[in-house]
Amino acid sequence: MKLETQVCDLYFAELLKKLGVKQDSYFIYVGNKDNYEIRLSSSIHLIPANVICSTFTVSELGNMLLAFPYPADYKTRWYDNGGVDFEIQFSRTYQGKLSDKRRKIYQKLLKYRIDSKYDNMPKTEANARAKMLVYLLENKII
Amino acid sequence: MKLKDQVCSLELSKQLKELEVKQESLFVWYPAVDGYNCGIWNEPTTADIVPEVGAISAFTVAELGEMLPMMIKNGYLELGNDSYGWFCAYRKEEADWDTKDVVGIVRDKNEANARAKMLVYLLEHKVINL
Repeated sequence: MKLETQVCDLYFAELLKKLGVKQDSYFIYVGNKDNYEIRLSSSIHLIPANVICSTFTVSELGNMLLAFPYPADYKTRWYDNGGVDFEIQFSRTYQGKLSDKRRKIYQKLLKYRIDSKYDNMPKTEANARAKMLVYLLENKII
Repeated sequence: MKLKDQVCSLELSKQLKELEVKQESLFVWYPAVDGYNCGIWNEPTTADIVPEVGAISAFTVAELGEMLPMMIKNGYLELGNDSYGWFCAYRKEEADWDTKDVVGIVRDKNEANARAKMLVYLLEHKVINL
């Protein structure tokens, strides 16, 4: 399995950087938007000026998604069209106790699940997780 | 996040190797003076300290996810996290978030380990061949 498919795309990686995600990862993108590659962030051969941003593995993204502030269940789902989706849902035992604020988040997550079935669904697990993380950050849920 | 938390444990990696899982991975457990270390294959900074002999593939979450079949005879793959930690399960149907119809489930604090445990189970019980 290629490294490129184990970390999120440059598109999501740059979005995450803009959204203030700590640039602390095992791999980074170096180069420029037209010509880039993935390198180890600990590589001694790095030229800081060439670093575009951090890119995150499936594992690192999963760890960040656990910052969701309420008891929740997380699930990766694959579809017949080759798409991958990452879903978050309030824990079953918690759903009956939703305040207005939490109910809004619940509805947003539900809408995300529905919309994602019609959007361009990511093809890799890393991008599915990155997409969810971007959504949570843009909507100030985490 | 430490590298060893991103790959399956040495013990599970050894089991997968014994079960003849193809040793193609991004990271590898390699013999060191005080046991085994985990590093990346063929990266300029580590290539010289990673001997091919005795090395064991240390599979990542993504690699293990790719090896697990979406469907087995009587269940659909489900991967995730709940209040008990990371899990890997097969369910009778793709019922949303329903825990009633579990065919089999394994859990671990380490996401890669949860997936590796399921893969070991499927291989040991000859549910799948890789």
